Amino acid sequence: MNYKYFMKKVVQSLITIMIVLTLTFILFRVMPGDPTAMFVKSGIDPSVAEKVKEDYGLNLPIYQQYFVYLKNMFRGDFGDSFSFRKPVMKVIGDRLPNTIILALCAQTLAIGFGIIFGMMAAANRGKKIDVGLLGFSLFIYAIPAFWFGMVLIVIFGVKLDLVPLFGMMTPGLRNVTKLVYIKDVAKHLILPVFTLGLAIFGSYVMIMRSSLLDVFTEDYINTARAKGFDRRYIIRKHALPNAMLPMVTVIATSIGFIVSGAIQTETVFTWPGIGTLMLKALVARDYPLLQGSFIITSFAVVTANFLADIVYMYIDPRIKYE
Amino acid sequence: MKKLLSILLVVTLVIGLAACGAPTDNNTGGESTSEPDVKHILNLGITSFPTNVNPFSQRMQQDHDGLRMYETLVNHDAETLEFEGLLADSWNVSDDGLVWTLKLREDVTWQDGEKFDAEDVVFTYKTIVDSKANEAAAFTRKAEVKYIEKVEQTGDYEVKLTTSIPVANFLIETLGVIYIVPEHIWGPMETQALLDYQNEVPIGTSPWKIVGEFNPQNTELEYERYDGYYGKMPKVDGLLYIMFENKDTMFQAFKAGNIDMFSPSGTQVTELEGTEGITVVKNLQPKLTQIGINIWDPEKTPIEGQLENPGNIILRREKNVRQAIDFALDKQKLVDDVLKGAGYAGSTLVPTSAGKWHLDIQHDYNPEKAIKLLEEAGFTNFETVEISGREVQVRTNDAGEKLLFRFALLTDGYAWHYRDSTPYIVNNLEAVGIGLNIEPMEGSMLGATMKLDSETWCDYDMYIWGWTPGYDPNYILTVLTTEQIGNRQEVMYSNPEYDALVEKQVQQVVDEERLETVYAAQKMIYDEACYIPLYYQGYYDAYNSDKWEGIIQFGGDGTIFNSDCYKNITPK
Amino acid sequence: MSNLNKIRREKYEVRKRNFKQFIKTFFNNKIGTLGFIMLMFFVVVAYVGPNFYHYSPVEVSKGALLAPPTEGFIFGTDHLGRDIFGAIIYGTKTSLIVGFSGALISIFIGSTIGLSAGFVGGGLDNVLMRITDGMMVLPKLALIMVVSAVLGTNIRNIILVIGLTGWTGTARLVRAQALSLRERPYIERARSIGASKFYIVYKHILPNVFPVIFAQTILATSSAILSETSLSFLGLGDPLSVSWGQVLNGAFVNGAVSVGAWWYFVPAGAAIVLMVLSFTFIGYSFDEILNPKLRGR
Repeated sequence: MNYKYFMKKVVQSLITIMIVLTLTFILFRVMPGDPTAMFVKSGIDPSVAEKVKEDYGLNLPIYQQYFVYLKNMFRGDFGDSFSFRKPVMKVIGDRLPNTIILALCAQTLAIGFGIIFGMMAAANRGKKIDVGLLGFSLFIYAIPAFWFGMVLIVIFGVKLDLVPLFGMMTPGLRNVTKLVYIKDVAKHLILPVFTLGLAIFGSYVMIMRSSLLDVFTEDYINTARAKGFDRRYIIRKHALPNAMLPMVTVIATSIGFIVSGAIQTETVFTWPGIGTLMLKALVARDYPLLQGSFIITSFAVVTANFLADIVYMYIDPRIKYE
Repeated sequence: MKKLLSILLVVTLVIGLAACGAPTDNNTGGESTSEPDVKHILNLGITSFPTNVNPFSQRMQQDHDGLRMYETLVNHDAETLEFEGLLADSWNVSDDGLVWTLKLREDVTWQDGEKFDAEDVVFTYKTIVDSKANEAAAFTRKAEVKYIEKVEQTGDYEVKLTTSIPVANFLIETLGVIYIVPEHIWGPMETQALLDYQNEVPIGTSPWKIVGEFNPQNTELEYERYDGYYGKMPKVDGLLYIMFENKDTMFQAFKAGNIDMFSPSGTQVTELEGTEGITVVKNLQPKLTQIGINIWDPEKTPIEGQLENPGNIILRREKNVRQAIDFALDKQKLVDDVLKGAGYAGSTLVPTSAGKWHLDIQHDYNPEKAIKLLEEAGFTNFETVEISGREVQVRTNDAGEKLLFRFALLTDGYAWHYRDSTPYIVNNLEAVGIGLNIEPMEGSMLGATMKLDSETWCDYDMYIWGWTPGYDPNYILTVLTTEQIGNRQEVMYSNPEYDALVEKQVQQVVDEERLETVYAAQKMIYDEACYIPLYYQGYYDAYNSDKWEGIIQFGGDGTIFNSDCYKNITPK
Repeated sequence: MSNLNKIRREKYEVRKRNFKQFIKTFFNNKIGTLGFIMLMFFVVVAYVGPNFYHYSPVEVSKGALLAPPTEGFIFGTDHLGRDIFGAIIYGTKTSLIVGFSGALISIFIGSTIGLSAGFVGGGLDNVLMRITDGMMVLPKLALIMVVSAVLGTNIRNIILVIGLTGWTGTARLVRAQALSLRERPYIERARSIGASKFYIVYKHILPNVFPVIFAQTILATSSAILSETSLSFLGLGDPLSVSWGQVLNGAFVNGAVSVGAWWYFVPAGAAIVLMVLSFTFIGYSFDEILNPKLRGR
């Protein structure tokens, strides 16, 4: 355990969080109209408005407002959502599991197939299979996720009538066993998972491929090759563990982004997650909720990056702890 | 490697299995109903969920779906549009039109078993009336009790309400909208607590009792039949409101049989028509969409500290140009294409579905007349201008003034038909030589622009927006009064004659006399052409007629989502 | 004097040769060539197409409402009876303009920040990089949505928003390049003979970082196009502009998906995929040429 390296990462993450909080503060103060409108819905009775203003320090000069804001953030007080009349944390907390289920399934598939196809491409560099996989990955990168979702809905939902089109469960479903419920959700998961998974799958293939190719040029691989080891054996025992290093970072980062990355997919399939919540908050001008989701999702990314750095420290023997 | 592969295999299998299972148990929704004692629950599709079920502070249209347990004193009968007693058995008004005496029903119990009596009514009304003096208390129905001076209990089941002036629409605007709440629950609360109360388990008097607790974050809201109800007992065992994020998802759920009633979009109606077992009806309510023209006159009604000249001087000065805009619009085409036939072409302020109150002037789509009017106003020359990449010919006069105006377009989600109408409007107006620069903006932004104390004070030329004024004409007529400038007024029209007419009609208790005044007011606005009604939009409703009968449309051609319908609907 | 001219001419010749070499390598790359041809196709469609094919977003009900492809309308009509093929042709230009302008703004901001951070280093580097980190972790699409709500929605603002939010990756990349260049001997030498920082950046660093910036621009363009599409799709674009994202939004909002009106969104989506693909292909082959580690392996 390298204490210095660890502390450096902790400090960096804290600074990033401070910057996120500051950027969000600035962003939400320049929203159109009266800055109080952010926290006080128009038409609300004046005494309530006054009280809310006081709670959030909106009567104070801007720099003092900033400190009140920071204080509230660190206490985990994100205010009340206008549209749900409930604490922002609770509203987000209720939606978060839905997004996590969707994103985890999609990530699992994408990472797994990404690694396999990336290996296949790298092992067959320059051959037809490599070019094909490469072209396929670039192609997937070019597809807007929501459009792909629309196409899937029309083919598998409308034309073939194989899967449910929207939502997370059959509406009006009640008094059923757990198993029926789980099956129902699983059915609703298929298309969104496939859409979201495919959207991130392409980049995993590309990264896996190029990091494997990087490893192939290293001396120890040549040595192993010279010793006459089987090619497959070399890939599995020598190249793969080292090529996984950059993958760890990428996976950690994108796991951080799962919370916010699913906006389009969630919208198309009306999946009741954080993405649809954010869009709803934006449309309803529910600023406290929007601000809360911004900070929560950013926080998730910072945490994931931090964890990636720590994991990296453990698994990469070459890392220098300055 | 092998481990990885096996994990993947499992994940793929699980999802795949579910996929294969899909066609076989497609009717999961029906499983619960196949149990021995069949319960008939009416599943209703909605696209916005109630957020507040406190009758004192609720403000949103969709909240009413969450307030089904409450009842008012009187009710608009859905079939006849006449008033019938609900919690009030009978009522009468004194000859001077000032004192209303209400006899209440004696056989009513609250859903928690307590007896209902005059105390509950007096508490509800008194709470709101007493709050009039208190600026800080934001009771939603404050405006509705504006003229009530005294609330008295004159018996165990009798209440007397005294108003300061005769109120023509007292039944529809006051007695018919204020939900009565139980005094034994709300009585002990302080004023602010009454407004803040979350009311998670609302107790009312209607045949519908909430199941579980109300939570604005849910997507489903269930009612069961309250068997202690005093009136006509509903034939279904419960109501289940199911919220959908959009019409697409709702449409699919309807086709799959998960919901029994919903409002399809125009495109979906085309798909549904001709499907067996499904009935689609037009749902025409008094709704209004208008083009407003800013005619603020700083000299006539100056505002302190605001010296610049907002809006467009041509539009304010030339009534001809405003009228030409009206004649140039093919409003029926908008109804046909944008509303897919559900609605009427607009002409006067009070919408068609408001019945007798609508002054029936037929819209005249007449581009030639529009051109003639413009030429009479001196706009005989042309100039080519560029509007978002297109070259457009607009008229000019000898002074070089151009007929090129800004047009504020709402971008909010509910504004889909404004958005769809805009290319038609642009097309129609360009045909007679009027150019429009579209300025997309949010409702809150546009609303702020129309306020006198905002930074963008009155700085707009034209806009498209609308109202849902209800069946009584008073609300929509008051919008254009001088008093409403800076509040609900959007076109900055100020005319003492008009103000007097509006003031007069609301005190005319005899309908025939009131009608005349209401017509005169509408005619005045029509001639001024500052408020151009585009159409009175309707919607479509669809229901599963294989499963249900006894549907009632409100007012004969209105929505099927009404309480009389819920009480009458019967499983086949 | 003539000596100096000679040096200049030689330098010019070298650059010309390098450029020619680069072009040759590029067109030897099949993927790159394919991408280039596709891009040229779109450019031609965008700037020549409108001369041969007439379309206007206000010309409503030219055909039946939401009708499948027929003879007059090869891609069918939308929910207001407008020609979808025309919208695709006219929307090409919007996508190209948004893509390029958005990319240029983000590249400009990104390179400026990256160069300053990498070359000046020290405290400035720390500050700039932490800000970049902060920007990076904010949910990007949501950020674009909020900022565009602040600025109002028209094409100009959308470009601005995409530019203002999309620079973080470039900043990091350029910084890394600048950092490695800073330690090169000839820069050390230039510094020791008293060349100003601005001069060093302009004369030595910029030309060497330029290839990276150039390749990054190509990739930024495709991501700008995708951003515009997503923004318009979520209903936050300029409603009366003609763009592919608007077409997709129209399709989604008007329920083309649930009634199976595939013609309303398949062509527009395919056009986006192809255009983005053309940029990705070009960008990918640039990367192969410019990245020495990948070359000749």
